[in-house]
Amino acid sequence: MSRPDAILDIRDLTAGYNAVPVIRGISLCVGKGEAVALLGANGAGKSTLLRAVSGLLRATEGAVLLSGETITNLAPEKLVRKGLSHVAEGRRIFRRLSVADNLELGLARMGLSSAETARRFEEQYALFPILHEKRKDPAGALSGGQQQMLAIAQALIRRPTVLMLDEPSTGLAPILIEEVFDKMAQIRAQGVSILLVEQVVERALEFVDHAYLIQGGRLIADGPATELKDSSAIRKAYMGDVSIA
Amino acid sequence: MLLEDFLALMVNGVALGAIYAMVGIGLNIAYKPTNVFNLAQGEFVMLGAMLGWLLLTYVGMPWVAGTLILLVAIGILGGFEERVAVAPHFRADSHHHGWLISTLAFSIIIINIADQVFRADPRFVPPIPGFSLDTIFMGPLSFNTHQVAVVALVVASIFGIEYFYRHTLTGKAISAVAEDRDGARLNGINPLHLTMLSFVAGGAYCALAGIIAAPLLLASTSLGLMLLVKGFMAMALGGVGSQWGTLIGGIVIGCIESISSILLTTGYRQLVLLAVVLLVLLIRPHGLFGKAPGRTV
Repeated sequence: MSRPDAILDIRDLTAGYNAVPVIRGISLCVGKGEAVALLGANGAGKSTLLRAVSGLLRATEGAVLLSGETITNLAPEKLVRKGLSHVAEGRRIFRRLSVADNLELGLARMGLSSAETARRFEEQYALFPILHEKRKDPAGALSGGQQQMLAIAQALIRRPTVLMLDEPSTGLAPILIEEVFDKMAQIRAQGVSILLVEQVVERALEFVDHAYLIQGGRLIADGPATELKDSSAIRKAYMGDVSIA
Repeated sequence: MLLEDFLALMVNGVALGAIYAMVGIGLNIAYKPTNVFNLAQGEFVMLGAMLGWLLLTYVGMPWVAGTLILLVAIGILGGFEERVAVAPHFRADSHHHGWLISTLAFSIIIINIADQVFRADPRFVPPIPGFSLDTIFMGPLSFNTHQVAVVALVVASIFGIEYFYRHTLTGKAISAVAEDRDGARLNGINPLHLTMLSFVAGGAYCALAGIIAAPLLLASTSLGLMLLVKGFMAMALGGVGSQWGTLIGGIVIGCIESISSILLTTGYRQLVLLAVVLLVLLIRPHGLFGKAPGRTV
């Protein structure tokens, strides 16, 4: 399953809560500059997988490699400096702090010079002009779409090699979902590898190169996005094992 | 009641309230990134007062030097407490309330040691240099300059704390941890460092409260529990996390206590105080200036 060009290489990962595994033996690869989707019904274990990769949750078995280096169960605060950014679900920004403060915290422990910090801010403001306009506002006062942009910018400002996004389109209007995908395309064009968990399956499959389907914590299928799009596996992953005549 | 008497009681209440507020603010400081109320902080105030007596009165050190030693020592004690009584709960990732027992245990250990070392007699601690306990009369108003200094110090410290939380990276990181611990970790912030830092700062702040309270209240080993309870009430009344609210809450409590001290007997005094606190919390469960939690994840 693992490939030589993998940036993020997840091998037989098992993790869960209170020793009850939620995901079992999942293997997944994201290549350089590649976008990969992780799809499955609610409760399939998508977020659990991302949490186990970023160290918020302990993996009980298996390994995670980032650019060839083993990072299994490394604390999340250490992991961000190694080039992995995780945008958790639910627009987890710091609502009481200003937009600029949120971005500053994104760089909190990176140890950059003030000139480099300013350059990183410029990068994000160029990608998300609305954040520049609202940089002094409390993040909690932003609209849902803007909050999602801020959450992404906060992860991106560290210039990660891999960006994991957990349902960035949740709760957004269709036009804003399109904007999020548009930004993700720009991020990908910069060479950042993306691991995307999405509920908007069709749109996600248009965007990514490769997709993995999980059900009940196990991998049930994977393949190039174009092939999966028309396969019955998708239906199976979301509807359960029903045969449709 | 004569106007003069009333004003004297109010002045006394405000100064007392400012001290209660300092204890409450100390609780806030340690609570912010941890969601833990450090129940040993009352004893930190007591230690501030008693060590203040030891260093300033008994040894005869200059006020500033003695106070600095005291702040550092009790700050370190706060950090030590965090390591032995609080950090293990976080490491175990058990979101239970074990800290309630462990910080209380820590406070019991402190008070028992202090009782052995200092005995129960109240001790005198000198006021802040440049200020005095002599009563000054100004029209109907009577006060002493140490009382003024206490209130000014609390107000200045609140400005300092708010500046720290709003304008320094560490302060913003603490706010971030307070709001979303996992979110902060995903941004590279290690909450455990900030937890310890907050306990050190909370400890030192309470020590300062102790040394400036001692000239007004006298230093004794029984000071801690009383101040912990009043500080907690001040914080609950004003709103957890709100320093200005805690100051107002402290002053309200101090004034009620002061006025009722001549109108009511001791038993009724506590009753009135608790009735006011309960009434306010009944109407505003998050305190006068507290914010309801923004969200729960």
